[in-house]
Amino acid sequence: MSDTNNRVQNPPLAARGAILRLGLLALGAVLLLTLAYHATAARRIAQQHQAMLATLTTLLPPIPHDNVLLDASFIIDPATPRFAQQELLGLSTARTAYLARSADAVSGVILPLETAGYNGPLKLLLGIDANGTITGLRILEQHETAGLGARIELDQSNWLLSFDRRSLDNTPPPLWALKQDGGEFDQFSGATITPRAIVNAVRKALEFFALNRTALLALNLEEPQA
Amino acid sequence: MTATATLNFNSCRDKLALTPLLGLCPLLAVSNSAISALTLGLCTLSVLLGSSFCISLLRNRFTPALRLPAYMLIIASFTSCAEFLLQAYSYALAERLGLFLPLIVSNCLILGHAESFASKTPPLHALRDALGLGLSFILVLLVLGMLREALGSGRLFTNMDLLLPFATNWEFICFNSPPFPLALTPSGAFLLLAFLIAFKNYFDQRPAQHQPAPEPEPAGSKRVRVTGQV
Ligand SMILES: Cc1cc2nc3c(=O)[nH]c(=O)nc-3n(C[C@H](O)[C@H](O)[C@H](O)COP(=O)(O)O)c2cc1C
Repeated sequence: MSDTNNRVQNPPLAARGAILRLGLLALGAVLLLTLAYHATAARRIAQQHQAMLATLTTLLPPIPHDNVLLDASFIIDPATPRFAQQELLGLSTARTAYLARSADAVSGVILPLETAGYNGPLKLLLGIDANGTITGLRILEQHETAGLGARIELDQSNWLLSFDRRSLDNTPPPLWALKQDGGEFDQFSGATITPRAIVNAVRKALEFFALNRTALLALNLEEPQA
Repeated sequence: MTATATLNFNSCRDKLALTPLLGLCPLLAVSNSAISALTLGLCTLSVLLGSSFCISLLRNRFTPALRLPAYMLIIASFTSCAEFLLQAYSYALAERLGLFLPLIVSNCLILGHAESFASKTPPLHALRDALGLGLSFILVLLVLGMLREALGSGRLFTNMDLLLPFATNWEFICFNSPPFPLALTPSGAFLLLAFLIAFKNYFDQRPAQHQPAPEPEPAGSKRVRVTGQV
């Protein structure tokens, strides 16, 4: 009787010690993580804000923008269209657009756009001044093949910069194409799908801007929202 | 401190052939530039140091059955801390490493070091060994990252200022068109890694072939080194 009792009791005792030790360790880990989380919180958020701001600022080099860009943003949601032919932007999810304002007039916008690349969605930000001229194009997300499509990235080539200063006026639609398709944009050897998708997406975004120019430029007076 | 680091670096040279194979595999995808490789190497080093120290402190507290969960908990905590710190230092840098930062947890190099070394030695000794291992790890990763960046993109040290604020003009163009774009892909990483290991093996074997006779001298010098280390 006592024999069986021992056999039943011993393992739980050992297990209790193990659970206690692991529990204490977990408690220590929680403490460490909480401390690290709170100690770095302010700097992490500031860094994130600054990184976003840096990206947005490079999108608008020639535009005088004297307001804080991130505070003058609005949402473009494919589920609730509020602009004409919003599908030209190709968005699959709601994204943020930004206004650059100087002296109470909108001097430019940063539009989000999306298109299908070789390996998945390509998400981009396009800076356009009030006349419809491109002031910058940057990639937010891409999944293209390294060494092929991924060479669109600015740290691997200057291809993205070839969009600067173009507009539907100085580059009419037939020329919004890769050189091998009779257009004005370089392709990469071995990778034409990615650049072609981007060229088309940017042209469509310019068409979207042309259609909605009045509405977009009037936005700042109505609703600068966070 | 540097002296002990060099000493330990020597003792870790034997492990170097194995280190890249075991430790680099989860990291090959992200080591395609010097900046990514160096950042990931530094994060791994700090996780290695922190977890080795902790595990060594607690080495007598855990029965063999408890070791694995306890080690994973410790390593995962330090990895999260490293992630927070990197995000606080530079968000852009943390973005570049993305998922591969938390994946440091799964780096068997760290767990292997915990199990085979930190769990059996006093904290300071474990720290020293972790430092040596981590530095040799950074070295391999950095060489691989620089090779991949130079061959795959034709440039070197792009964006180095993200990590080192003074390194603003370090980027230079090695090749006008990248000679070997494949180097940027994971398969290219494996190829280059194989070359690195072959290179290392070649140099390890060469002295043995050329001078098989002078046995007593290296043995003696090695003994000196060993005593110096303890
Ligand atoms: C594994 C693999 C990955 C590829 N990745 C890309 C890519 O990311 N972007 C791209 O434009 N083409 C990529 N390509 C090449 C395309 O399949 C296509 O051959 C190339 O764009 C040339 O198109 P073209 O026939 O219009 O000249 C890849 C091909 C392979 C086999």
